[in-house]
Amino acid sequence: MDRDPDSLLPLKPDVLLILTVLAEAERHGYAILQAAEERSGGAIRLRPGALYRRLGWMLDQGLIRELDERPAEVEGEDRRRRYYGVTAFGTRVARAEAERMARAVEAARAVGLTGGTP
Amino acid sequence: MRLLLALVRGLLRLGPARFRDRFGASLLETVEDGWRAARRRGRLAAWGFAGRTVADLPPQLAGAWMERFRRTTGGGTMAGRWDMDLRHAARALARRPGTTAVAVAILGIGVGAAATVYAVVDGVLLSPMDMPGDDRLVLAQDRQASGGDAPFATTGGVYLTWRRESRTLEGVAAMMGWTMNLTEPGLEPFRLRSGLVSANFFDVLGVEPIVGRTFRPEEERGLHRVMVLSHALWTGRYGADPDVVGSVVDADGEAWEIIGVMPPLALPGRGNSAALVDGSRVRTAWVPMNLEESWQSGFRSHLVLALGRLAPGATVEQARDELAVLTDAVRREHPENYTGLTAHVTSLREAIVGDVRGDLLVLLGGVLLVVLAGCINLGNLLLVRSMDRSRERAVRRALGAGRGSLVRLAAAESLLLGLGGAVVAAGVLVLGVQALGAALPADLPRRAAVSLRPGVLVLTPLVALALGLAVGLLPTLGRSVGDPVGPGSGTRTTRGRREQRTSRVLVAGQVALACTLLVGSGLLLRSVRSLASVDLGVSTDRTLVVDVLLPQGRYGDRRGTADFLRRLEEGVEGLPGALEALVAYDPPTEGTWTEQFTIVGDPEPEPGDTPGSFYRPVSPGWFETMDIPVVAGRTFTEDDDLDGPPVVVVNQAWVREHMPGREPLGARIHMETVRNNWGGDAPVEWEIVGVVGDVRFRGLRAEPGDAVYFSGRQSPTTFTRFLVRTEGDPEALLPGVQAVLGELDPRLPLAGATTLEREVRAATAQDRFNALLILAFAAAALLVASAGLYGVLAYAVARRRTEVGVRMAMGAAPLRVWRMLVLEGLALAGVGLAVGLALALLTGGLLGSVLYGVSPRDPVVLGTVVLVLGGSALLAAAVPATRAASAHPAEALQSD
Repeated sequence: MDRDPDSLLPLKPDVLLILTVLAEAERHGYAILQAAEERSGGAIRLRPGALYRRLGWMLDQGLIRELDERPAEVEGEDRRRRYYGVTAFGTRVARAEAERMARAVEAARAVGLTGGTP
Repeated sequence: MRLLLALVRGLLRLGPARFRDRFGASLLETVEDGWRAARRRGRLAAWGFAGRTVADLPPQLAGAWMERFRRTTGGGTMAGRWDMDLRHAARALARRPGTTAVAVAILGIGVGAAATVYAVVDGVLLSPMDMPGDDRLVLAQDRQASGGDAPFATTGGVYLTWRRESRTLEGVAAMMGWTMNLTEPGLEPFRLRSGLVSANFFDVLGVEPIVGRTFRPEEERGLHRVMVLSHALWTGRYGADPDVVGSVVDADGEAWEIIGVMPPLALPGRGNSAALVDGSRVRTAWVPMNLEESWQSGFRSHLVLALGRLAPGATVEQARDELAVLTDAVRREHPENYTGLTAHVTSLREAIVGDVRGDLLVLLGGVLLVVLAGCINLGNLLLVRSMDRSRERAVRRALGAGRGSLVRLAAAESLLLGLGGAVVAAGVLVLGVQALGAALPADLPRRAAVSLRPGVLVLTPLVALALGLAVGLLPTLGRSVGDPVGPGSGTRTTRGRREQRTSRVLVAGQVALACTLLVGSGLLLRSVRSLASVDLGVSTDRTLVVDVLLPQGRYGDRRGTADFLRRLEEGVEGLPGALEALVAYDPPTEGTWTEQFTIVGDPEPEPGDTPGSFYRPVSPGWFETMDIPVVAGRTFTEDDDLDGPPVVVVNQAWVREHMPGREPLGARIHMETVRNNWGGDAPVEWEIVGVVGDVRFRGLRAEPGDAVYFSGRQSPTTFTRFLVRTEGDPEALLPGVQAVLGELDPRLPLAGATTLEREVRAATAQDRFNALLILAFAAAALLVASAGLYGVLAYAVARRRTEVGVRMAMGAAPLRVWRMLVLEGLALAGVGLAVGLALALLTGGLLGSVLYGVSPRDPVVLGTVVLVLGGSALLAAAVPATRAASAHPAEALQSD
């Protein structure tokens, strides 16, 4: 895939969050919800409906993929569960978004809009 | 959970098939996981999760639809087509301004009203308290092991046992209601309702002071007079001055050091109830309890509210079992105090909002019924419209329009309706929350938490939009692609049979819902009326009630205090406009002090079986002024003072309960209260000299309590309610009373005043509020149902104009035609009425807990509802029928 990751920027905050928690580990639906809430310190609470709509979009855009095999440590769990993981393209998009945000924070800090080291 | 899954599954059906096939199963599974996890945190958390999940789905599905349309039609031309469709839809809606306005109003008002009530329920029942980790806080109390009565405060001794031994609770704090008089130079004297708390109180609650510190363990020993201020007391009395920490104030004649200030938080505790004190508004303070005092650490006085924080992994049930075992151990050591008692543990939130949950859920149920009725009506309106336009649709299909474009057209119309509804709903919500905020009963727990949260404000219009879209699209989507209706196929009288039948079912459904709501509101109204007409057993008019607290020991012993109170009475009686001044612990409409006693000469009761009764010290003249009848013997006179023999008066309920079939006059009871309070030579045996009528001082809904009245001259109390019967407006006398008080003792604050009538009215505030709200819902549902009935009948009549014309041309009398049409309408309403009554009878039991003095099957209410609904149906049917029957046959025949 040689699409330009910048074409999808800026990402919606919950899309970036889902990418982040999936980059950490491959997960199924509810595990994504839980990890997202923890990661964001409770600031972003995804509902199941919103989650799957986002997942649909992310699958269509090639940011994530559905796993054929499930991670080893959850063997014996319910067979129906679908697991998702980040694609290489998804990683590149997430990185590009994170850099974009870092630049924005840097710019804001330069004019004293945010705290940090004086 | 099954209901939740069914709901999600149903909603999914409204979404695009692709989304459903792709994610339906996974989504259901995730919802199931989420529910399980939330359920472990408690029922409220689970409900919250379910509510949020269901509320989130419609907008997501609408979004999925949009994405689908965007995909199926190429982007560029799509915008153009949508634009065209929207214009077309707007023109179509504008052509029927009446129908459109009704549809928008129904949608907007229905959803807006529902959201308003949800905002209240959310604030009171669902939103977290402003305390860290509040879901882990529990309230531990004592209760009778046999069940029955409500739980009550525990004793200091049992609290200390729990605190020492409990493993399921990682901390247990104690709190007792306490009152102090603050007197400082240059400041008004202030009666402070404070809390006596354990040193770990704030640690268990998990709250840090914003200035200074909280209590240290050694400060529970009675050696340290230290005080922590509430935020409101700090800002209101001390101008938010941080330097006040470290200063010393005079409270009840003793010097107390202020050591800290708490942030503006809702904190539990006021008096001996678990009600939250809103720390941003209530001026209060906390002082450490004193374990050296036996009434604070012994096993006799039930005054302690114990608040525990669950240890990690522990549940409320485990804590309940463990504390019950600990209480069992106490009982073995103190059988005289703890026989028959066990521990009662609930989550703090449950304890705070438990009382109003029933009321609020009734309201929510009512509003949901209204929304349902509104949606049915809206669907019906749109169905009728779609019937009207089936010919137009057929022409379009014949010209090659795909199903997608037809759906799009319907979607455009629904979208416009939905947008209108969304605007109206947002308006209703904003106004509604404001109006409701002003009307909420002042004593509603956590009332301060009721506010318009941004989430609700955003979600409400979205729900209205989604409902508009869903209801508007259903008739179109429900039609199979191969709909055989071609242009001109079928005649106008046969076409749309199926739609007509659907429409009739919908109308009957609306009538049924309106009927259920009307019955509910009728019952609540009757209940309010019977509450208002309850005979209190006492006259409440023109009576000023003033709270006065005398600092312990300020006037010396029993004699000094009794003298002070008599001088106060005499001073106030000298005021122009005052008829009689009386002192009591409780006003006649309240009962808060109970004591144990035995009847002299009766066998000693078993430990734990000592009878108790309400203890009511009153001034001489009490019964005469309050119109409480004397049944036997005499009442108190001024001679029943410290020099006279100790006497009491009991009420009829007391005789029924404790001396049935025996002569109470002349009997003596043994009661140690007065000696406990005043010590020394105070008597413990009291002779019954009179029996008086019962007063409902335990609340309007409760049976009158049993009471022993004491003469205030013989057993004065330092916490007093001061009552003044006046000639005119009682409140006009307040400045005079204040002046008398200031003259007698300038350091004594007057702690709040009200009138007896207002206190009684306040007791029914919640009921009146409920009834009014439900009545408003019922009126809305009645309007909606009548409009629906009218719409359907008018439409049916219009369709049958040809038939009517033929009949009349053939010589049928207009009256017969009229009767035929009206009967048709009434039959429809009758079916709905029957279903509605059945529904009302079935659900009546749910209302049982909030009703008073009226059966859920009250014939008056049921009859009235039948009459009102029948009348509305008659009116709704008569108008179109009259129009049809009065038309000239030729006109009718030509109309098509």
